[in-house]
Amino acid sequence: MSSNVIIKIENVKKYYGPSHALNGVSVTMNEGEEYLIRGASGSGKSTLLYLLGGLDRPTEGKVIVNQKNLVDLSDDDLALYRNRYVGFVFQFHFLLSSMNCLENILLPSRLGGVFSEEVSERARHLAKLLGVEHCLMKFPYELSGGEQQRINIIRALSLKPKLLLCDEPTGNLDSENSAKVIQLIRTLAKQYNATLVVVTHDPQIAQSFSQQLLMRDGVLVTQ
Amino acid sequence: MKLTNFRLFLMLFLDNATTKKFLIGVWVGLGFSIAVILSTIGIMDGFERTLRYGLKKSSGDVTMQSRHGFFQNTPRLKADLAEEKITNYSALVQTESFMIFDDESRGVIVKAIEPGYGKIVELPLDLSPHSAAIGSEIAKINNIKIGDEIVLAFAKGGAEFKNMPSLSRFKVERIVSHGVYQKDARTVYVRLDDIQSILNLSSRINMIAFNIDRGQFIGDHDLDLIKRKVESLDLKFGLDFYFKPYWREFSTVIQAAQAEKVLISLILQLIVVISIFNVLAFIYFINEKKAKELFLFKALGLSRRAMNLLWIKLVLLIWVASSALAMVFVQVFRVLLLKVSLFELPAEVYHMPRIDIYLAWGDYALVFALALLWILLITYYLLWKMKNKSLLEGLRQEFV
Repeated sequence: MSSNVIIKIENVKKYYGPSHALNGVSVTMNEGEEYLIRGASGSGKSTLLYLLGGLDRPTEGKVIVNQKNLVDLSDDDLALYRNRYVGFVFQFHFLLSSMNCLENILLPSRLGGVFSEEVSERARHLAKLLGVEHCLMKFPYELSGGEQQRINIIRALSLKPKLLLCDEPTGNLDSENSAKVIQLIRTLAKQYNATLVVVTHDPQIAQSFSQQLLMRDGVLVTQ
Repeated sequence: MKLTNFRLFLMLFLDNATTKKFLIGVWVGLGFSIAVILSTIGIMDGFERTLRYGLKKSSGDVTMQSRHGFFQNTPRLKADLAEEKITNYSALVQTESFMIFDDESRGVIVKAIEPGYGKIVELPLDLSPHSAAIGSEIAKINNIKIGDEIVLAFAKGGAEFKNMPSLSRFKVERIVSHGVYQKDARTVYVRLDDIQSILNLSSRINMIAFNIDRGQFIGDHDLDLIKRKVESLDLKFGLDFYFKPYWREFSTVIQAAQAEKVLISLILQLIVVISIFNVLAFIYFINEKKAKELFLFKALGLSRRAMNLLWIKLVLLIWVASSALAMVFVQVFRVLLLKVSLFELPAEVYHMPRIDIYLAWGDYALVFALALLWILLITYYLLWKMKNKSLLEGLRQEFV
């Protein structure tokens, strides 16, 4: 494994009962680089992303991140991995309505028991950078879709993850906001030296990524 | 896992009225169920305790009777009793009689007592010559008031006119209550010297009542102490005398109450189990209603073990709150039983008109511990079932 390879997926298969979501996927990704996974609905791209994020385990194969096979990690270690190593940006903003935006952003640090003033300061800094500083004390339902997705991005970056996984991050936004949000994600990922993996089927977004993975029927067609 | 996680966890549930109402329903339901079991045990214990207390008030700890009928309280007997550390005792004659008042008669037990007897049974029984103290139910049934005169008819065995009763008048000086219906409805106290004179008994008696020396009050352990004392006295005086602890007369009723307590407590566990199914339903409800939030918690770094611990903490909180509420319910039931006429019992059936709820700490501990056991068993089973649900499956369901 070369020094800057951070992710190595080896012959990964994932079955949900009779349905084969992944049929032997192998791929490597380098540290700090950007990747885009595209494909039709049901092609297995989100499954691959969730396996990378430690949200599920493969039926077969290896998912090696930072020289550790996620398959071998215990449930506790996998939870720690999700908390400290991975940032998720989901299609839907997925903010908790009972908490204000700042509390939502700080949720990973509180759940992981690593909340500190530094995390809080980082959250405020990112909010300022993304133009949503005025939203921090508001509840998610008081915000527009674009603002909610920015808060979601801040939450994903609040613990400086080494791996930023985005599942259709602009799927819920208009084209103007989509371009802005994807640009912000890329800028911040670079700033934090995080490996960025984006799943999308938006061709406009796809154009701007140099490293693309095309999925079809659970297999990787091109890398 | 920090406490803050539990706070966050609670925040999820308490953000809408439906969940709050459900949680309150679960809390009250479980609290009420636990209270029903506690109250049942408490009523049984209260019945036994009240009955024992009432019986003790009618005879003292132990009564001693001769196998030959009447006997003299000789210096030798006094010395033998003193050897057993029985110095605080009272001699009496207990006999049966007909009480006549206002052209009505009823069979009564007459206890002819020494002045010290009142101290042994803790009843106000200081009587003037030719006076009587009657049980409160006699006074109620026959409408007798203090100052009225009653007539007691005694059989005069061995006398010249042995078929004719001896009639004696007594002025009612006191009305006493033992708390046991049968005692209150049948007991008449008169002075020992009056009866000895009426029945030509000289100084003979047919019973001695005494309390055993127990030092300071030691609660329910008294029973064991008295049992042991009666056994040792039976060994010492066994040929001529026999000894009865104060509950002997009602021992079958007491044993029945004890057996019933165990059976009912076991059967009523069903109520707790049913209530705990409400807790189960609550967990299912939260899992469905808050699936998005719970799966987000997991996605952001909460392990399954930590999540299970949060559930366990929640059910423990429900258990603690329900147990506390059950204690409040028990006090409410107690007030109802003691004060509300609807809950007054037919005393001739149950021996006493009111039953207090008596619960020892051991009863609370047993009932709470059983409820805890059930709640943990059922929760662990549920969490084990939930374990098989994939995290991704849940997320997908919610995202789509």
